[in-house]
Amino acid sequence: MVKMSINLLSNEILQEIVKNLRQNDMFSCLLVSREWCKNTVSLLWQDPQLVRGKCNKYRVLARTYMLCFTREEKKYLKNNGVPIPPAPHRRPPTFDYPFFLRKIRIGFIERLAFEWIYRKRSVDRKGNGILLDDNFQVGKI
Amino acid sequence: MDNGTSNSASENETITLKSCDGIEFHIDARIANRYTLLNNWNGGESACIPNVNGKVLEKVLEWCEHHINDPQLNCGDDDSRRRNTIIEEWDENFLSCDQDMLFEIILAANYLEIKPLLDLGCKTVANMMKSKSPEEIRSAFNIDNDYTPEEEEQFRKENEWAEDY
Repeated sequence: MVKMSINLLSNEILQEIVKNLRQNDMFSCLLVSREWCKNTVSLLWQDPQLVRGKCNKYRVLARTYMLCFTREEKKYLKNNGVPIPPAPHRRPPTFDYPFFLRKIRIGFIERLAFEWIYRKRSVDRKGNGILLDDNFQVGKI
Repeated sequence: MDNGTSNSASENETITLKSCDGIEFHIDARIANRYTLLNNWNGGESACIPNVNGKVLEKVLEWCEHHINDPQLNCGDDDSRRRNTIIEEWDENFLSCDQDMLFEIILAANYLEIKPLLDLGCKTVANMMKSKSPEEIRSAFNIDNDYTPEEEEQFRKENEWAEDY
């Protein structure tokens, strides 16, 4: 008889389990194994929630999104003075993270852009605005 | 509370269910009325529930019996209900069995479409994962890490915004 284990639960059931977890616990789940990653990543990224005041969290989230941009998009941003994060080990991101986004809160993208652009002090605050929204191909809910 | 208007079975009526290993259970027909899939195997004679053994079916039916008078929820996919991870005491004791049995109950609840028991099982497992590191989760559930160190490092970095908030 096969020994019962969590590994025998279907993907649907694993996702039901993950839905009960908070964001920081989902983060742990992601790193457990590939199987757990597969069942967690879309849930974690469908509605990223960041705490006000923790600017650094916005920057690291913006960084991951920017890694997912196309070459043309990165070139456009670079030409407008926006620093582009270097890809680690020159590898593409593990997932196309913007694809998972299902909810956008008011001001979310503006805040990401603000933290990335202005806190880095790389462009003049009076510089031209850049429409990052174009890079998120999702319907706003 | 269930007002009984949609419930055709009376209190004394019983039905017979048989597990895949041939153990018979005589249960209150109102249980089978609530969870329609159980009705499919009513009859006992030759029909038996595949994939669910006597030990597990006994636990599942014990849970159903305890919750026979619970109000029936119609919301199929209510996120707020799921995210409420508080578990009442009786249920907590009921599911403080060994992990194998917990997973068997979850599988059976899923198979028999007993949604509230499935939710409860999933919440229980989720509670066992809370505030644990990836390594602690692996060792709690005996899961192998199949990431390469480079993959893990890259993936951690891409997702670190979600850590510890």
